[in-house]
Amino acid sequence: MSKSVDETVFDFFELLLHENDSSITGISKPPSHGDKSLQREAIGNEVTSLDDAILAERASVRLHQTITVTPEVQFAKVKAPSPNVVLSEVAPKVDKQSLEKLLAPVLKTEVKTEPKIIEELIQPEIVSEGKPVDDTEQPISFAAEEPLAVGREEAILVNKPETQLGITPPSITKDLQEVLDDEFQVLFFKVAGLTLAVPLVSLGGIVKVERINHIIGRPSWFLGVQSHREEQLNIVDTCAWVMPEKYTDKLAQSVNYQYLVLLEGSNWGLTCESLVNAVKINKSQVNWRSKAGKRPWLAGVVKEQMCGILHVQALVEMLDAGLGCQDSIG
Amino acid sequence: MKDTRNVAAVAASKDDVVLQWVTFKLDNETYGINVMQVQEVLRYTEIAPVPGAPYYVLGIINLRGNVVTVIDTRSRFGLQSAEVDDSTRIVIIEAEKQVIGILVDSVAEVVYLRRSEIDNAPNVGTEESAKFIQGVSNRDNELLILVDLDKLLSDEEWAELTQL
Repeated sequence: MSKSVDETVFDFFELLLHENDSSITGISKPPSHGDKSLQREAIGNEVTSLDDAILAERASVRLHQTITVTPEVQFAKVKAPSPNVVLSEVAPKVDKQSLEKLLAPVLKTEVKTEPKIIEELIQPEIVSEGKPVDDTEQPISFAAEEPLAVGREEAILVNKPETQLGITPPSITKDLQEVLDDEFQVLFFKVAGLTLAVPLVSLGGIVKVERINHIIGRPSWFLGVQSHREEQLNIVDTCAWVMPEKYTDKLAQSVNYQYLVLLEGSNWGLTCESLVNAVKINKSQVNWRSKAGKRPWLAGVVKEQMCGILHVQALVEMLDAGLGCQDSIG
Repeated sequence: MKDTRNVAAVAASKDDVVLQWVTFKLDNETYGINVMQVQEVLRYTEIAPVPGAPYYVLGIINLRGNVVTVIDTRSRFGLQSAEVDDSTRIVIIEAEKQVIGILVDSVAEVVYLRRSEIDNAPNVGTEESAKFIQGVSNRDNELLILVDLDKLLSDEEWAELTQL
């Protein structure tokens, strides 16, 4: 294998973005059949190499089963637990404490100073308040159960009309960029070797995968529902949704989903195998989608971490409509 | 004041009707069907196959002199078939003015649910089988999937059954 997993993943996302751009430019100048076949071939090669890379990485992960978090991530001691945990100033690049703080309301005193695998630290339910974050000046508060319930209800009330009335879909990321500050935090999570990022402002919470009830007649990417605080969470098989073309039976069997990344303002949860870390990044560090395309859920690519960043609002609209990753919501 | 409250409570409870559901198991999930549509529950008995019957028809049984068609519920729900065992049951139901049997893994209990306790099923279904899930309800941290028996088969399929 000539490429590393990260390089391959980066190429994969770049290709997805590039494909969208070319499909738009194609309106004025339709691509020739040769171009299309070349493009398909390129995507096919990328998919194959991504598949190989992921399988290879998964093999190597099995050899080093305890490694799930980047070594530089350190967990600092958390002071006495309080209902609202305030995020203090964070390092410019890798926000070592953000994830810990995100998990703090649940972890309480269990957080230790030594580096530890995230899985060990996470309790069955970890939920963050999904309000806009000003991560430099204003502290982010992650509240416990009561404020969350109110916050989510408000978010649903605000977001529902947009989703249900089918107002212009957020096919480009301009609206997302307007919501985000110049510096914003993202949570990285992994699924089948692929790293994805979700802005913390769009994160509804994190919940451990428990009993998933299969509901018949739903698309293959719909894993089922899981009860959570007397509500039903709709669970997406992230790998099947994001990469249906490479989601083979072999890969499906090897995937071990551990957590649900809840999407703000919805009952949707994305399955993931591991949470990597929460990092503060600058808008300029993201190669943003600039034109509408087939994949409105992909806001762009985080250059340094080489992973796709999710456009949660678009993703929720697509999931509500029962669409797959390559369907258009326009 | 107290009387007013009682009247309001009664009015609220009238809107919030309590329904009874017979629950059965299929492939680790619990399903519920309206008790009013259930006539009886039988232990598994030999089912005589019918040549040329649709794929979802297991065959027929003789129920006290009446011929009853038995539906393969697993097949209808898109689930893999399973071996018949001691807990397998045939639930005799009435739907669309026909009496049929549905083969299930086991029958669990009769539960009481208020209408307000029933949530909509996730509306992302594209397949035929998505139609006959009329709602879900969370009971004791276990999800109960409520089946609309009238929609278990399409109009054409119900008509087809009468021809068997």
